[in-house]
Amino acid sequence: MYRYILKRLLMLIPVLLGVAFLIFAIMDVAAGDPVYSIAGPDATEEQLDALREEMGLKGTLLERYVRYIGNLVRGDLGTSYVTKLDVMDVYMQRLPNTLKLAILTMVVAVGMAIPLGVTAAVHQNSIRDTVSMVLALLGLSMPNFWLGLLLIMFFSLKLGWFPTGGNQGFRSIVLPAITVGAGLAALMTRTTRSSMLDVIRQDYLRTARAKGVSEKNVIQKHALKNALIPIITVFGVQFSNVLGGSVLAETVFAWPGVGRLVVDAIDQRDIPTVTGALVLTTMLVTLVNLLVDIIYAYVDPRIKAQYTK
Amino acid sequence: MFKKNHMILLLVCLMFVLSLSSFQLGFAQDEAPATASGAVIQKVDLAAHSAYKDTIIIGVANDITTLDPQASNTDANMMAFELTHETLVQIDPATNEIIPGLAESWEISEDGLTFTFTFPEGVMFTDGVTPFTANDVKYTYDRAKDSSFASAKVSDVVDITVIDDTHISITLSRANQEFLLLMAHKGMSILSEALCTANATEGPWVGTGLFAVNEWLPGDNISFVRNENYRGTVAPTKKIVFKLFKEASTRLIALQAGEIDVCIDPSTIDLDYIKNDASLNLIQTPNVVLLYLAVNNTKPGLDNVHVRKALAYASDKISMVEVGFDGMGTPHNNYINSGQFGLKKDIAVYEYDLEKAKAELELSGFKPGELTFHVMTDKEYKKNMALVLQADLSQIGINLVIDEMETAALKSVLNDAALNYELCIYQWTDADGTDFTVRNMYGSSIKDGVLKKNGSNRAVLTDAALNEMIDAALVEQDKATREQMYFDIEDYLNEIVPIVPFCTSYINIGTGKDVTGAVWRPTAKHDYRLICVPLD
Repeated sequence: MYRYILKRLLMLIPVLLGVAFLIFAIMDVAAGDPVYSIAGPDATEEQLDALREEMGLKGTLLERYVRYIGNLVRGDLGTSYVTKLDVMDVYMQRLPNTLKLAILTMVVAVGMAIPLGVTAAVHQNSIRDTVSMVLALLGLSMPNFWLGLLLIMFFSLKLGWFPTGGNQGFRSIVLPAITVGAGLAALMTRTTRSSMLDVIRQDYLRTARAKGVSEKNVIQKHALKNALIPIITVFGVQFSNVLGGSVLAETVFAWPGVGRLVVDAIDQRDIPTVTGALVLTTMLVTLVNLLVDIIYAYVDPRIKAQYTK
Repeated sequence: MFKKNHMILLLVCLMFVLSLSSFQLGFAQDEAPATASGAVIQKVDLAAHSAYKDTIIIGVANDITTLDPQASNTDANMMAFELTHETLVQIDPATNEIIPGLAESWEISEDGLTFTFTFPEGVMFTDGVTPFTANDVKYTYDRAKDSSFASAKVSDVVDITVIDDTHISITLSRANQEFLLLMAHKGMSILSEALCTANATEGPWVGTGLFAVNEWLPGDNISFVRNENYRGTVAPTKKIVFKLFKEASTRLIALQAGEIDVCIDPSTIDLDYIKNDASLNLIQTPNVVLLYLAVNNTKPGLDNVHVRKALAYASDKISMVEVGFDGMGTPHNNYINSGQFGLKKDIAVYEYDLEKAKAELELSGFKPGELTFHVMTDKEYKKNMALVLQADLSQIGINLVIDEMETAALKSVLNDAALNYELCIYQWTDADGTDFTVRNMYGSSIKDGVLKKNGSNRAVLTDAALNEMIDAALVEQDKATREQMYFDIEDYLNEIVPIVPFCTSYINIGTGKDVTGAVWRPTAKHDYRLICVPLD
């Protein structure tokens, strides 16, 4: 198991190198020379040239990439073209916000999805199933920004329970977490339902019931545990997505997360910020995927056995 | 039965969602009168109040990108510089006259070439330990020469002599009548040589203003604290926060909920909410930002004056205001910003007339269907305006292709030396000096023996005769004659139509009812130095 984890961690290196190169290549072909975005309208050719030198934009794509990786190894992600602030500092300032939002979002999503999905499966084709599926459909079809605005109007303006936006402590994460979580819960509800339906008809559950195990225990201890693998997979993917930033929710709720940092940086052709933020996010996502794989092993002994081999 | 249940549940859910979305919020209107300059000045008698709200939070749409006054020219940054720094002189928002800033007085030599400024003694930078001296002015202006944002403002400066700690003389190469206006620009804010040398990044953040930077969290907020040691009257508010709300609806709701005191630029479709809320105040003033069709006069077809006139006649400015600004704007026919010295109010107008546009196209020698142009746009409202133009041009036989781009990409194309564009819907925001406007927008300079367009000359106009007119107006000391010279420049531009002016919009601001003390400028560079909420 430890060898597997070490192997996965080592695989991070080529992944990060590849991601960094891809970002470099994409930003290189994207329309808009960053120098023109940053220099003033009266910039002379000499000033533009000096700026290119200062920004490390001189040289071929490969030369710049190698230079970047050299700095990256030393933990230097460069300085923002726009704000002149250290990219690592700016990212680290935003990361806790994104982590807080991501974790609470997943709590909301799982807290809604598992009970709804299990109820829907256990009571297939009943009114409860219908309610669950309609709620899931609503969650999937409601655009994030619209739901966000409705929640702000109702809970912030009408009731005054939560702040409208910004980073003002725990209360300000609740509405964005519900907004993003509702969409994720929808998909997870449907996955839970279908996974449970697959498991619920298995012979071993019938046996458990025949042996007198209570229905509650049959569902919680035998059915749900065996249905968890696809749910964990979806959870992992969703968590990774949220870690990358929920740009719409961050915009509506003025939440200073990583997603908005990247989008704003792309708008301004702030290459060091885009590259640095995406490399660090890739690292995080890869670690989350590794964590998901480890959880698989604990949930399903068969997978653990495979890892050991 | 099963299907019926589905339907009922779906209806219930829909009703729930609709009920949430139908919350309507109450609002009221109270418009403050604008001055002749267009600025809305909320005067506050500081002696009449003994207590003020400690913190004022301003909900803004655009983030601060730098705190170095010479590294940017965006409105958002300028408003921060106004709090933290001072310029030698400043512009009276009511009259547009030059009034003292950091310099308490100045003298101009008879030939108009030498300016001698006098500074008060004992001025300190906001760090509380660094004294200001005339050397800092020299350092700032020398530094500006290397800045791509500020160099044009000091291009006429040939000598700066520090007489003593409180006196400096600045000599120009020509009697620039707008020199003081240029020195009032926030990009010319005075920096500390000692602080900038010690810390190149954060040194320029410190000025001699009424406030100092407290904390900057890019993408979230920036706060400023009162400079308790300011040499004059200290600000009534202890702390001012610019809080970023990119989404206009959230920004407005934050104002309604009382979380912020000022909401900059609420969406025009939401203005009624502010008007109808008794606890809020809606401030509106015409925006001087000139929205125009940049025409690259060097491109085939567009180098023909009759084609450019055809574009002017085919521009339905009223419809553009309607689709671009929800009707909240004014068609603009001048080549400089409204409110600027020398604006010719009775300029001949190219009224929207497709028959005249067709006639001009015929005079150009091009046949209908022969010309296709590309227009670049970077914002939704500009794209909507381009659609209006596209429909009208198609009626006279000119094809218009709309290229939607991100702002960074658009700026890159406009500023690239290749100048590979034809048309672009763009804006000119710097309305402080007429010379600065005409020189930048239409002027050119000799470089390597040939005329090359100036920085913001999007028409790519290289017209020696026009340059002479601009140069002559700049040094004319008789005000009336100088004004006439700008009228002549506008007439000349109107004849050659280097660009097509479109329109200006309105500046909208929502505030709490008790907010006062601010100066709401038509340039959108508002002055918050005395903003406050009196508590008694």
